[in-house]
Amino acid sequence: MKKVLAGLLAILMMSSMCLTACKKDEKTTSTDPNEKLTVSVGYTDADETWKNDDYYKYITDKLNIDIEFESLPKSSLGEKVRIWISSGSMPDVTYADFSMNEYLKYGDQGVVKALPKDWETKYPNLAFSMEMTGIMDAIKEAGNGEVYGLICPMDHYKQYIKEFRQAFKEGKDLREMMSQPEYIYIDTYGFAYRKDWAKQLGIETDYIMEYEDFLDMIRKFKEADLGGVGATNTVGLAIDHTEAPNFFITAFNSSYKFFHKDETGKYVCGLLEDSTTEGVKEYSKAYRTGILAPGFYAQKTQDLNSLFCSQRSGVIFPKANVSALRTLNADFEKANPGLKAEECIDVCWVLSPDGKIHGREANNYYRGYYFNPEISDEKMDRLLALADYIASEEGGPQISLGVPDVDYVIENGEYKVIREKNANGTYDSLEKLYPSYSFFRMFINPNYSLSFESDPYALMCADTLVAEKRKHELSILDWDDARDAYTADDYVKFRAAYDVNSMFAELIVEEGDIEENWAKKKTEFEATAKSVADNMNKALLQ
Amino acid sequence: MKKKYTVGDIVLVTILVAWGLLIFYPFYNSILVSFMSQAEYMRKPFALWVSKPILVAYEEILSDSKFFYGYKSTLTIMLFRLPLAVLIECMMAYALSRKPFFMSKIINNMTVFTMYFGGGTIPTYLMIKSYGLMNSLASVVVIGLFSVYNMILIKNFFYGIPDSLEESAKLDGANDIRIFAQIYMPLAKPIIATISLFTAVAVWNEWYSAMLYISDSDKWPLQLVLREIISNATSTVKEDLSGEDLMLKETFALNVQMAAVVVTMLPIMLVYPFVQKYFMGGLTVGAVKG
Repeated sequence: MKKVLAGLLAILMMSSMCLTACKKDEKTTSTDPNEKLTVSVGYTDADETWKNDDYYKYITDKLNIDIEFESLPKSSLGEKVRIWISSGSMPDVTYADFSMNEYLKYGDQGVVKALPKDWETKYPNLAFSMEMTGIMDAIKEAGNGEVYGLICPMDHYKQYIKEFRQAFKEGKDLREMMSQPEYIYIDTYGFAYRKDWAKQLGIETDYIMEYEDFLDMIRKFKEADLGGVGATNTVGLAIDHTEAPNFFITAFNSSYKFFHKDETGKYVCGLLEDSTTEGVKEYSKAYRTGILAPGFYAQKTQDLNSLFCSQRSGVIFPKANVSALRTLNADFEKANPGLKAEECIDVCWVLSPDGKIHGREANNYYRGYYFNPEISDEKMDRLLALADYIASEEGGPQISLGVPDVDYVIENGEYKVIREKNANGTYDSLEKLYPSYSFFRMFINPNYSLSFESDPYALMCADTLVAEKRKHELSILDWDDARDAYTADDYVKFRAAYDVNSMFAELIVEEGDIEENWAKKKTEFEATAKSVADNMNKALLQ
Repeated sequence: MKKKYTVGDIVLVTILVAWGLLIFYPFYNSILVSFMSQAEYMRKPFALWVSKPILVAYEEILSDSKFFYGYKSTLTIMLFRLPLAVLIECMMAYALSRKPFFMSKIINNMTVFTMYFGGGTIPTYLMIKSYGLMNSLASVVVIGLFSVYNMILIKNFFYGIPDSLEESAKLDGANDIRIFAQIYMPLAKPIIATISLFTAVAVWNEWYSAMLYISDSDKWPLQLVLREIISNATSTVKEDLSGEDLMLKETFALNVQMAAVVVTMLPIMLVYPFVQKYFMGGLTVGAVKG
């Protein structure tokens, strides 16, 4: 029987080897620069119909390229990309969410193709665009000079894009420039509140409010019940447990949930610092005094807008970026016909008890593209040329405006939109007109200035709040490239093991003395956290 | 004689009614929310009726051509996978339920082994790729053609059929294929109905294999299309649309999600009452009588 079993297993092994050997090498090359090359691109919800629109034809003719789109489900993007890459089945280039861990892993394993050595000189606009992510030094250092894909910048420096482009041409360090007070990007944390209620109650408000004044306003809103929902239905601050620590604890320690360098330059765990304890006490106080709703920890982000729009709460923590405010304004006006967001809603942030604005510097990258290791140099060159054109001063704006002479014209050096308005008197979005727009527009594009915003009030609020924050002394947790690229097992495991937001939520709803409870909780992870910090100091500082 | 209800009966009925409502209301609320405007939902998220029903969420789902492609793909997968899976599982179950033959125990153990240890996602992916089934509905058909669990249920059912039937058929000159097709299969109608239902529900809920193996979104089955519609509804409302677009849009993420839930459940709900008895029967197949 054993012989039969061994024979069977041998047959199975032989069969699998034969199947593996049957793999075809599909690598193709072309040396003719005039030949229209076809490249396959993995992108979210892309399909073959994208090739039918005029915008696709305009761009691909201009760049002499043809694209076969392969659809990535947005709902399972990460999983599909990982399987594509790990199994060697990816298209020539695929879109992916960017994480440093995965990037380094793919690079080490050789499952993605690195950019050519001369990419920065050959594609200077692309190099500028990538430099705007602020992490290129770390990327190059981690890959020993190799860059294993394209990383897309966000629009955090949109007001200063011309200055940054000029500085790049002059060979200045953009990362350094991003840390300067006049350019530093401050997180978009902010509160939206009912300014009409504040006026009715005689509360003085400003873009930047004192800590106690702000809490006092919440209490007064709750007590006054100006929405007429009933005293038992009013809620103080509409915030969920994932964001509450970003206000209450960040007010005392911007680095509370990070391993960061202290004043001696050594890495410490923010959770163990005394200032974090102060923040935890304040968080607990807010819960126990009714600033936070009794069941706030179970609320979902979607519920928060409902609390505010149904007039149960007069203050909400929505992250005061344009997109969040635009949604809030729209939700508010839909739920309250007759009320105008512009007349009822304003934004503010709070000066921490130490007189500083606390927050963190936000990363300016969020996604990227990886190349198939088997892609030919010619195809890669054509794709990089496409990226370089989109990142250029000429291509960037044009690509964001649609098809020339159909959607816009250039008059006296100025762009003028000529596409027709719809029946509602507004422009249809270009994504609706040209499905392929969503791919080209977002392919490594740092030219933010021409983006169209139809809620100017949301834009004004968001921009003003950031400008007002900048007028105060900042206590900002800086980027730390070395830490962001640090992937030691104990560090990764520690960060994965503790869901800090849930831990704080459980802690503050617990009865008893908050300081004692927190001290007890800290004993669970103190030794591990110190050991992780020690290892970081050994690895990163010596 | 009129039955007297005790306090215990009343308490029991009250608990059961409350329990029933707890189960029923979320389902009912899903239907209501699918017809609600955002303004109404914000005012009364747990309403008992909709004052001004709107159909925009259904219009959004049904106006997406991918939705109909999704139905087509799901029904195509069903058409091939359902009969083939049932046939293959019945054949395997028949063979393993008969008198032991050469290596039958090893085959049985190796089959059961796969219930506990799978090949893993990437090896399976590479296997499908090496068969040339990528981006084809055949990949989703093939990957679910055999369920060990279903096969064991059928095998247990076959154990209950007297051996004398097989013996007398053999005396009459029938071979194994004839015995299987003309004696065992007709007798196995209840278990076939049960297994068909299991398989149909699995096909109806299928999205994962399609997500892995199919890159052409026009070939995605219904569940994957609906996942995308929900995902897009959430991200569109939150991130992509300009303010004006947003104001013109009557739908909101939850509204679309609930409409998707209703659209997905409806066909299964319509069929389920007719096959429920087989489903219940299937759960007790192989159970030992007291």
